[in-house]
Amino acid sequence: MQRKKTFASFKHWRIAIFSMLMSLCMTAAFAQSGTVKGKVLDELGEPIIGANIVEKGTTNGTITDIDGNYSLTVNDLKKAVLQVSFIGYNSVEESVKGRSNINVKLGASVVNLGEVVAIGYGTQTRREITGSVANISEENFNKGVNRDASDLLQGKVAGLTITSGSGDVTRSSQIQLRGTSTLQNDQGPMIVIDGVPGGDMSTVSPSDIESISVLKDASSAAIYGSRAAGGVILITTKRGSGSKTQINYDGYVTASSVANKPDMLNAAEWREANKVLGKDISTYDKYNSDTDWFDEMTRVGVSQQHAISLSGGSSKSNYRASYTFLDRNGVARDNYMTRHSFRFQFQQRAINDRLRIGLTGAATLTDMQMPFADDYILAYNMLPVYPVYNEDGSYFTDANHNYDQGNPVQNQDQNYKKSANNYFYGQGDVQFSIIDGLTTKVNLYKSRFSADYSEWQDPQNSRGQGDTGKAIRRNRFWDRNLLEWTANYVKAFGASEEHKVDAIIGYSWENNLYADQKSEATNFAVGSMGADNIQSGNVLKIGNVTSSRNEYKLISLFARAHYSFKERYMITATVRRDGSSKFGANHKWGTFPSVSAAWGISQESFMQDTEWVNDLKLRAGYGITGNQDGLQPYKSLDLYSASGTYYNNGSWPTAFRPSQNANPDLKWEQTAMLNIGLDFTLFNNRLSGTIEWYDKRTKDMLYNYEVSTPTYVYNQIQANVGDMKNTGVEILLNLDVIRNKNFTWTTSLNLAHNKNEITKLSNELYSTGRVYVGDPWIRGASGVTSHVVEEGRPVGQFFMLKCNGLDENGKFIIEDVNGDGQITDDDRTYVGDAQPDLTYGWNNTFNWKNWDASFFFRGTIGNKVLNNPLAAYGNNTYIDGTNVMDNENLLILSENSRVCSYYVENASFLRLDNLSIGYTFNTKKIDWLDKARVYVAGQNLFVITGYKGLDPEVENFRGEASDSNAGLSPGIEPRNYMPKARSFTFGVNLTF
Amino acid sequence: MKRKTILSFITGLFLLGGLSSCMDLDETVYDKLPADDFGQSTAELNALIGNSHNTMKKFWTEYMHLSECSGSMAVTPTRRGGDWYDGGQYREIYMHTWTSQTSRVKSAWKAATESIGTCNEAIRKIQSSEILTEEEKTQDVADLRGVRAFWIYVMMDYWGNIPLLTEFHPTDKVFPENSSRQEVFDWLITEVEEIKDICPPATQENYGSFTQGAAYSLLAKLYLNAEAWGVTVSDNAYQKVIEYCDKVMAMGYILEPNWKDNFSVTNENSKEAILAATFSSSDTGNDGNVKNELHNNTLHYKDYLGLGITASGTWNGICAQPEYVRLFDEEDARLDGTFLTGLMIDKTTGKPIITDHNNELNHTIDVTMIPGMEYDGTNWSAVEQHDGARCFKWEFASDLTSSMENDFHIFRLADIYLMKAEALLRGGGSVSEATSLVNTIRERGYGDSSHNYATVTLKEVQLERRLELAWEVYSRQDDIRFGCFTTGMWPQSNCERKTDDYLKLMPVSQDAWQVNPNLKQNPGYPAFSK
Repeated sequence: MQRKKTFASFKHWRIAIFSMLMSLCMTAAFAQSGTVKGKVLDELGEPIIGANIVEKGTTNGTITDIDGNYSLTVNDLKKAVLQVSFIGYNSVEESVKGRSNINVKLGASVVNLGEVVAIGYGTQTRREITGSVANISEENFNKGVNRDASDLLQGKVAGLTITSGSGDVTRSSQIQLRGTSTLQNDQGPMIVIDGVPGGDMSTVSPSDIESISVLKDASSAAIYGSRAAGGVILITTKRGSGSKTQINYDGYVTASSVANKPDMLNAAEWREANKVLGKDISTYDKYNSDTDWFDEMTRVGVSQQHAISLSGGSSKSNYRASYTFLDRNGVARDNYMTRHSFRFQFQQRAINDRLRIGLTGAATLTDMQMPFADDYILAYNMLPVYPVYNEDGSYFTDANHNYDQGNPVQNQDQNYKKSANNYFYGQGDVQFSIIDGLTTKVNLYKSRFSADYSEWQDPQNSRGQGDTGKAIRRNRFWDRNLLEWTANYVKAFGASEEHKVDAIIGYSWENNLYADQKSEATNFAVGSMGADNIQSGNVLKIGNVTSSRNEYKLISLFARAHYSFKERYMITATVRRDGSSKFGANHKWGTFPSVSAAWGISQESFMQDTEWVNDLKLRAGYGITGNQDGLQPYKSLDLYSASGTYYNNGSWPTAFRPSQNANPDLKWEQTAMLNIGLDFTLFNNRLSGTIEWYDKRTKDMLYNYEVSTPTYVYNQIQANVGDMKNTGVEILLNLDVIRNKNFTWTTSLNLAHNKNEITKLSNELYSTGRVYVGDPWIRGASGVTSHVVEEGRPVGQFFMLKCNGLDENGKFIIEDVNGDGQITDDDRTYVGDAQPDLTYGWNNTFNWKNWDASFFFRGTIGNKVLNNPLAAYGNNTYIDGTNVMDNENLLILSENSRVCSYYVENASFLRLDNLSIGYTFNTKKIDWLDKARVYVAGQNLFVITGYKGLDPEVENFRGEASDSNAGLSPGIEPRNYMPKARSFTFGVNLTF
Repeated sequence: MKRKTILSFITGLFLLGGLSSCMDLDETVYDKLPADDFGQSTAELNALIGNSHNTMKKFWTEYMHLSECSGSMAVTPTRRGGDWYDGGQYREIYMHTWTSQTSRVKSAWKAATESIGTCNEAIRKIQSSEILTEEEKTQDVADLRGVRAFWIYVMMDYWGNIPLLTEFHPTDKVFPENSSRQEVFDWLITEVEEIKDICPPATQENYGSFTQGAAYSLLAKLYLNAEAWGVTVSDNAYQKVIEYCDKVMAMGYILEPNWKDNFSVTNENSKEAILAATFSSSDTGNDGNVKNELHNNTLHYKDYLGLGITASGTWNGICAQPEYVRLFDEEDARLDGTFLTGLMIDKTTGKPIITDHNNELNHTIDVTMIPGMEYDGTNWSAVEQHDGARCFKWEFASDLTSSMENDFHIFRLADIYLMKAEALLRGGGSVSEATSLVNTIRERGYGDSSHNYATVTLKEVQLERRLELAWEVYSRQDDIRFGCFTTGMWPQSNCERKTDDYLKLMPVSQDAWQVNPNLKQNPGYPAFSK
């Protein structure tokens, strides 16, 4: 391959300019502007306060006052259409048709069918949607301390599993939609922020988010092509609207404490246990403390957030600016995150409103400190009789040389892992309305994310003593450039506009750059400067200073056409053609089509008399999406890279070797999904819901498959081989239990069942048997695996020795599965899997006069978790030198722990995840204050489970998603697990 | 008007699609070198040859356990509390109950086959180079062929019947069948005979390469073991051994007067080294950059306090089989130069080091199984943490942390001396010459001639090999050749080994068969099945 420097990016700007000029050449006709006034009322004729009135297709809008009155200047009194909406009511569209006074009546509903929902490259009303799209807007977000969109969404969408498995406040949640569908680098759904694909949730402060759409099926996600197989999450941020200037303040203070910590022996219990077991522990008689090491390492973490926003505009322009300060302190003493988020949006219309120019700028500046998870291993092992400090106030260090021991408090105080992250992005879009119904848009985007990392391991403590101090400095950055062009045509025709067409075509070009520089040094005679003076380390080896850089491009063409007849018959078809530089030479381009249709049964004439049915819609969709997250740049190519050094007559030059087994056939994984759903609203809008069934089949799964050496240089090659299947059912029900003037109670239940199966791992070129994965690690079981990846089995299949309890001597009764009279690896068998049969969420909201309240449960049924801390530390084998976890068989079990089904537990759970109570003050008499609300919220209040470990909800993987085999051994509670928090929040919302 | 607009629109779209740069997916490779660009200078080609030399580091890391623990030299016992049971893999190696799934067997197969593939690739690259002279090319290729021959020799020694694939196939998928041990042996003789005089000459500058000295040593090894391997040789094998040992001995190598210089941190200066795996303390263990982690494998995690070295957190694994240590005479300096034994005293406090089980850290020669801690219905039981003599042959640098700087000498001159002595005795040659060769080695070990033999038999040669070459990855091969492979030197363990003859060959790795169904399992082992 030839390396050449192109001016490709310059050429792309030319296209942008070309498109703009083309748009500007079109001329515009004159229009007559004017003011529309009126009232917005509910079913009972009561005025609705704060209803939104927006001129359709613009951001020109206003809000009703305390008497339900509004007044809005529109651009064209003849053509303008008003969209009137309010939370809890169906939205209504009214054509102005020259009128200057329009009263609107809104009907209450648990689901707003007129609500405009973001879909890929556009919006649709809920009534028109043919695919499977879940939309969550602000009023349904989780309350309390939230870092990003995933915290707001957790448990709310059937089929969307969001796992926050650790108490580390710097660690992102792991998200999965409709089961796992890949074996490598499962990044979950693609995030699209205000239309920009491939975003990062952490760049949008929760208080800036208006709504979140989840594109669940392939027919709705296929327009995002080769990156959409994991689903798509569309985040829409708030915008300024109308002529009213609004200032919002949203602040809270949260106190978090440890929800659950391991039950270790205290000093007396430890001494007693040793006595019972007949162990001589006289060496430790000189220590007489009673330390709970987990208590010593944790604290009550106080967090706060202050978000202020300013928005407003005129009929021609609107703006919104916001600033959020989040200071989050974890329950671990050395864990915090401070984040400043800035966001500015501005839109201006010109040329008789035909031209719209928008600018967005955002900056997210984060400082954080991550804990050393392995310090929790020390806390498990350290004896309770050891003190934290010696009598003279110095750290207790006697145990710092013991295996897996050392003073973790000293480690927390002296060591650190810090990162300063900056995320900047700017976005500009130019939209031009060429003729009625036809608009074209150019979207330009640039972002830079950089992370400046420092790590220090002090020579005085157990972590740093081996290297006599170790410092790491690392700088990384990720750049993205995106150019996108679309043309959209919307037209209704026919006598009463019963035919409606909505079509879009587009082109997008993006490139992604990544660069990394890392330095480390060891052996610090003077340690006081930490990682800030890395040159004071005396040992700097070859390989301690490294750098890397890579790039990839993605070019796409896409189109969608939607046709509906009287909202009765609707059909949508999309196609996307994606080319990626990451794909191998033989498969540079992939095509991803989809089609979906919906039948609005309730719109049929024969249904008009069926009064108990308000709305009924049957949907079916089929589409093909891809996933390329598993592909790193350059993986298909024949390359040479540096690999250590070689000896050459007294010197050590750098050795080079082939980087990988090149595979020019590398390509995306392909997922085909069939989705059938039924949406219903019944009984005077009191009950609504959705039932969906899907069948999702992934083929050409990327994995590092084993190959024969030689011919290959290495024994693994990344290739597209395997198949996987997910089938499932999802149910969503919303019910207005009580609805009257003073009191409402709405309840919402979502249920999801998914069955996952790996159906194929071999083809004519590659043959893969059982892949052993999962490294729970307990002493004496290095390399003993816990899971398998195998045809006919789900991801997360536990495979190990089967234990049928303990015998009278306290030994494991291991089942001799193959009956050969001895226990060997061949007796390992299938002992359950980590994927739940059912996940559920149950939300309740109450409103009584000025009070509001909500509580939210979520949980799983039928999943298994390996209680590895119990295996590692619930055994008395080392009790004369280390502490142990208390458990019923501590004194009975008389052999070393092993990786066996004894430690695999049912981890079904029910968690009261969120409880909040709020009060809204009556501000009618205060003219400078629109709204004032205070609330208290509790998070992670309790868990009901049979699981005996710390928490039944564990991360799918430790480390990074890109680590090899990450996500293939879910359901292990790691022994270096950081406890989760229980939080209480007090918050204030003010609108001026 | 409308129509025109739409038309111009469609035109615009086609224009867009037509502009080549808009659809250009070329990527710039920044941090690696595309294959077509690589190899344009001798420095680059040398870097590739250097990488092939580095494969030999895996012989040390992947074969030490397998050789010494299946032989009579060492054992990785299970420690009280379960450390190093690890699913029973070390028990299987000591008790000769390994299977095609035993992880050490699989990883050893993988190391050898990947190394052969690496050499094949490098040979192709050098051969297609346009910048080297024919002479340079010949020598470079011979060097690489030598490394490859070494690995094929290792595989033939361990597995006998192996796939023999000596070309690089970048695109075709080739699934070779096993060649018989005889076929592999014959191929090796031909191959090494061909390169033995065109390899880089045996000079200090070529340390780390596969030199002419290494080629002759390898030939001598092949002929010496031929009988034990059951292969037929056209020439008089032992005569060949003698001839080739003589060749090596005439190449300017010397027995280092100070025996320990062979194992020092700077042992690249040893003039006794013939073929070396060169390690650096900068080795990271990543990207194929293999580390020498002997210290981690053998030292108790508190030994560093007694040795005054920085490396903490070592793993307390492999130790010597007790009766092997007892072969050493107290007066033989090689005893203390080979094993770490006795009570460990903390250098800072002057007090004995205490283990987590509240015992003094005393490395006894005896390794005693604790009754009641047997595993999986066998006699294999746990032993105390501190039991067993540790490897103390290679100097531990005081600033040692994660990787050792010391090189490992795959072939060294002392071995050649003893090989020649053995060949003389086996082939009916001069006993007095054999005696003198053994005495030369013995004298250096003891420091004087007081323990010299008047005359030697094979028994003395075998003993001398054990004293001289402990931990140096010879035990399995030597024990098979001397006919004592079925008895370990740990009788106190009551762990009787399986004695079947087929165990002299290791089972072909299950992983290898999984990706190459043309492979056949060795006789005696269950045929492959899913």
